[in-house]
Amino acid sequence: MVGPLLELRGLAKRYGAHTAVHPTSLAIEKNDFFAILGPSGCGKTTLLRMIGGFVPPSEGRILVAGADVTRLPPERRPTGMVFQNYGLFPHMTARQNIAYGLRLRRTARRDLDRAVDEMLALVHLEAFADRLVPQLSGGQRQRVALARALILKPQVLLLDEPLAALDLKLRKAMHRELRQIHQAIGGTFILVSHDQTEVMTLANRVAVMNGGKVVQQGAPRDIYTRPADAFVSAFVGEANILPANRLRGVIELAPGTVLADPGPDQPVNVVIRPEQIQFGPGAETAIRLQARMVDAIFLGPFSHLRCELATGASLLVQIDSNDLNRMPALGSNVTLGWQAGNHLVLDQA
Amino acid sequence: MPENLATKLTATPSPDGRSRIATIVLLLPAFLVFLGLFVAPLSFFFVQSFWKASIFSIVPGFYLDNYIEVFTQYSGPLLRTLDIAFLVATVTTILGFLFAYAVRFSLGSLGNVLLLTALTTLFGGYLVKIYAWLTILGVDGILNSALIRLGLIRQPLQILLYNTGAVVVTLTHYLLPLAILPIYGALREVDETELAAARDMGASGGRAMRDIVLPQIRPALLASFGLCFLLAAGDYVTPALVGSPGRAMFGNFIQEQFSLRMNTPEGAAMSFTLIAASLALLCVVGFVINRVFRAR
Amino acid sequence: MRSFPQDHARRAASPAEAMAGALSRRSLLGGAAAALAAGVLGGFQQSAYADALKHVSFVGWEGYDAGFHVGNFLAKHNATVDTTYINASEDMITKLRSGGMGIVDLTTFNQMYAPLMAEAGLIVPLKTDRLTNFNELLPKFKQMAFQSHGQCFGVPFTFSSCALLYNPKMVSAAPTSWKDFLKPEYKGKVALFSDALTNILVWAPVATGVKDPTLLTPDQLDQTIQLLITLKKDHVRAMPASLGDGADLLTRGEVAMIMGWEPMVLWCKAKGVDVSIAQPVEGTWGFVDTFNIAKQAPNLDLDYLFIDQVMSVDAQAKFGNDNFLGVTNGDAIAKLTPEVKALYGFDNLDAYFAHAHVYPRMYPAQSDGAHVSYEQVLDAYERFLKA
Repeated sequence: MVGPLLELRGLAKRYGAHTAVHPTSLAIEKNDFFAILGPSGCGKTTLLRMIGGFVPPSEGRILVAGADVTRLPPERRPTGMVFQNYGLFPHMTARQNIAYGLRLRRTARRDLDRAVDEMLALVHLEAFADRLVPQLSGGQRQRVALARALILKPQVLLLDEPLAALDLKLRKAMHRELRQIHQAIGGTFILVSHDQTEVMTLANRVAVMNGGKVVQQGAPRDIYTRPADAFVSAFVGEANILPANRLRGVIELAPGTVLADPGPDQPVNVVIRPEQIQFGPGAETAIRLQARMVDAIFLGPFSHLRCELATGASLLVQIDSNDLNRMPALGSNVTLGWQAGNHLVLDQA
Repeated sequence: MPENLATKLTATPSPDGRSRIATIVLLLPAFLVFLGLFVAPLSFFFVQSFWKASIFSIVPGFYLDNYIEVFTQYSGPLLRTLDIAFLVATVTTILGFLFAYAVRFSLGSLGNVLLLTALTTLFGGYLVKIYAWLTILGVDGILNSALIRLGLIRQPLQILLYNTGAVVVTLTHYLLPLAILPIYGALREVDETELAAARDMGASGGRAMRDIVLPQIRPALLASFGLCFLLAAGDYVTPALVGSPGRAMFGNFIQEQFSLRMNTPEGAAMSFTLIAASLALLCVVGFVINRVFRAR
Repeated sequence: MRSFPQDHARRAASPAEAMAGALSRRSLLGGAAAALAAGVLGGFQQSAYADALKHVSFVGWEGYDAGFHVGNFLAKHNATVDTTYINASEDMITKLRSGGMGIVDLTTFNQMYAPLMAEAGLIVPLKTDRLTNFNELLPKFKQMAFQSHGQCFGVPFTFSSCALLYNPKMVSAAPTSWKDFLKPEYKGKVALFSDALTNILVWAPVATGVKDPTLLTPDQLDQTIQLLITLKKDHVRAMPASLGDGADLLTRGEVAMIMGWEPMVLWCKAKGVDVSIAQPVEGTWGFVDTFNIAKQAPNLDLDYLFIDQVMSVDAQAKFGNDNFLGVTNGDAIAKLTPEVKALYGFDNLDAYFAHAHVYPRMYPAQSDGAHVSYEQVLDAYERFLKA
């Protein structure tokens, strides 16, 4: 096929004076697992609902496989949606929910039953097929919602924070299942989420939204390692952001600690991820900082140490939890450092 | 719910049984009111409906004469009454549903204003509404004046008032807020996402209403229908004021038996026949609603 | 203006009821509890205030109690009135039957069934020599008071009739007969009463030519019902539920003529609609209401004073002027407004009553073989309603 499967051209949504989504253009390829990541209120759900046909755009166009679907109602779009709170029909059984779309299409009884059985098997719900929705657990409901959308083989499957209502453990299990399903049946998935872990686990491409705009898009790894701005760096994973000034190609982080960084004279943010910072007096690193350790936070396999610079800025440092009991006492002075090239310098806007 | 009560009574740990006594004491007034105001009078009249009124007195016993008389003498008014009540309840329930549906899913904050407006009409007295319709539908009423002024008619229309149509209009206006309430309450329980999901799967708006909304509010539909039906079937003031002359409702004849004829056994038999016929009809309606709007 | 009850549905009491024996249907209905409660309450009131304020209990039509409050009568006798308004004559019977005996003092039955109420033991014969104003009654009413067994069971104090009212602007000529209701030009422009007794008593003479419609043969009753059914099916616009509704039909231009009531003329006039009273050749039914003393009335002596008071010139004049109703005290006529005087033709009352027939008795409780009973009349009327 020529061109992307789904293309947004200058798609925007305004409510009176408020702009929920600024003109946005995106191209999503066939078989992408595309994620739209952003904090709540960033416009990501509105964008998804415009694609699904539930919110009429203020301007712009939506094309699926080259065909303009901008003015079509949801029932006539080749998209399928899994809603955040599922929208299952509570008066129906799991099987009836899954069969509903095919029943609307007047599918022959035999074909319908076979398709539903396949879907039930795909989401491992064979044993619960004849339970009413209120008798299902949260995870089971989630899988019914997924099966109900997938059975129609939509060209684009839209997932609106589908796992937000589940607890962490269940969410992780569902991550695995979603990956498997995507691998098994293929298809183009668009996931909206505010959970960067989820996005990293599932998506092969990510668009990060903030304030109604897509601020960066690319592969998850690229976005993590090369965030476009301070917002992305902080939102995608943990990041230490140190504001500083660049003067004649030199940034002074602290008295005695300077970085060479060619560029115009202006305020910048120096971004360094906690896992990149090395710790201890013997650290052989290019960049070194003196700091005072103020807190240690145990997080399971690894821990965070919070250290304060003389400037008052604070830095998170990630260490292996096994090393936690070898740390100096709180309040001690420590030396921090990282290799040149591990940090990122972003011009302040 | 007796089961709920029972579980509550036994589930509450009460080492000295004091809280159980407190519960019984708290429930006693409601129970006595129920017994005294509902069970006792109904039982009294039910027993009396098998007695016989002779010219001077009432003869206790077990006679079916009263019920036979109801079927031989009053089946016409009974059927007419059930017919009008059925029509009114059907129209009111459908309108109430459409109104509540629009308020719940389509109109946003304007819907709340409309709902409030609809409910404030409950404050007006029942008779006031009837008289309001007299002034609207009469030959020199608002409707006729408007039609004449618009040049649509030359002579005032007589057919607007004093017929069954006027009864249906008046009763519908009176009962509509009562029909809206249970349905709106039930619609609030229906998640908008369900409608969006149905549309997403290919259902038209009407199809989603039939497949997703109506099956879920079946009890409320029956409640609204039943409420309107029973109030309409028991009403005899509206037909007397705006209905066709002398087309007396069953309620008029019951009232006559109790007052003018002083034949309480016959009046009681007529009342219980009306109750039984109404319940039978509501059972059928309930069955049909359940059947037509079942989950598929 | 309209202090008179709008839903003054005049319905007769059943004579069967009047003659009811020990186990009456009413007493069953009322039940012992109501009697007990009423007795306790009533007893309490009387004993607590026996020496101070005297409570006289009146059960009757709204407006009929107006005469008590004329002048300083109540203050002078240190009395007050406990009022119970009724919607139908049966309400008075119900009240008396269900524990009202011994509590109720005064009732206002129509003259036609006051004797029956006395036979049923609900009201007592009056000693008219204890009423100073009795002699002021117009001779016609004095005579009417004693027409049953030479005893007086009620003092006539007001009269009116079921008048044929019409809107002169909506008729080609003043109606001269009730049969004008059947003329094609008035199809859908006439209204009946919604009360069984009035409809029968007015239309029986029209249908059959009978002089006393309280004595009907089964055939005559059948003809009457047939005529009523014809009227209902082909001619009648409405059967107004109350007198007020009847007047509204006239003022709203819904009908050209109705079975009406004299006060409606002035009600309509107040709304700017002129209606006239026709003199149908068949005549009509005249209503005469009386004041009665209930059996076991707790304030018997005072009750006579109360009746005397409502018969007084001032009370009668106020009652008549307030309610646009006829009065029976000859001296009160001079104090009536010209409008009220004109309504009832006080210059020639004989002519009025030659037209508005006052019948001596209700229908018999049991058929005498030739004439129908009240029960049969009601059955036949239901046939009309169901048709």
